[in-house]
Amino acid sequence: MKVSSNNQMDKQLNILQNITRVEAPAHLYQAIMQKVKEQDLVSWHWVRGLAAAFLCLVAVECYVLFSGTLVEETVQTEELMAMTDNFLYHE
Amino acid sequence: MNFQTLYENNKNLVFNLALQYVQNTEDAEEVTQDVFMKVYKKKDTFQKRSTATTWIYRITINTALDYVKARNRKKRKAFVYAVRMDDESKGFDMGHFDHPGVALEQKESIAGIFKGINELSENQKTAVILLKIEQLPISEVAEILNISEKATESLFQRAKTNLKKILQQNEEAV
Repeated sequence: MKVSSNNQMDKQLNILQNITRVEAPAHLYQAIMQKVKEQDLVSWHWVRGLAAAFLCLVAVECYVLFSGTLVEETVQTEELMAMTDNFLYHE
Repeated sequence: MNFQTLYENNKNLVFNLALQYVQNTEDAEEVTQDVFMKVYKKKDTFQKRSTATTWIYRITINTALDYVKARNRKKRKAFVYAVRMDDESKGFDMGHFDHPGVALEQKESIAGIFKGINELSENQKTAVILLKIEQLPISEVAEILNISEKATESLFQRAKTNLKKILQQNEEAV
């Protein structure tokens, strides 16, 4: 009984062998290459964006570094000037 | 590896296999495009542990299964939305059947079988498609699925048993 029902299933499945193969549409290659190009462009956008962000970071870092040194230098010079003035008074 | 040669040698294989999973031309074209995008990106990293054909079969199967999952999710959401909006007339159809390789006189019976195949688990569905529609030898199917020939055989037997039950249920429901 089980064998016959399995055979019936096999028969049903064998209908699927009548499905014929079809040709892939001709326009597909162009569409794929177009998508590839678009994706390459998108990744270049990301590269440019990241490079710009990196440059901004470097610029901010430089600004903070150098402006900090200048302030410190000014303070140090003022302190030295004041010290020199005091020394002169004591003389 | 030259991409254009890869495409020319495998375009029909990919398109036809995609058709067995999605059962309509528009979706099969989408899947084929996605498959070759992946092939284009990974062609330089392809390790020749298997043949290029086996590699492309695997990419196609995974891409088609992912595509069907995404499509079903989208349709399910649309259905829930339609029910909420009291618009049940739209129904719930998991993708229309418009397989160009099926003759008109067999369309109804084959669509019925595909409806059952679509309810199988991913592995069982793949086993039926590769063995019965693509008519690949069991050794090649085993290689594609990366399992033993014995495991492939038992997977196919389980698929047949489940498919029989599903088809009976579908017949009773009609």
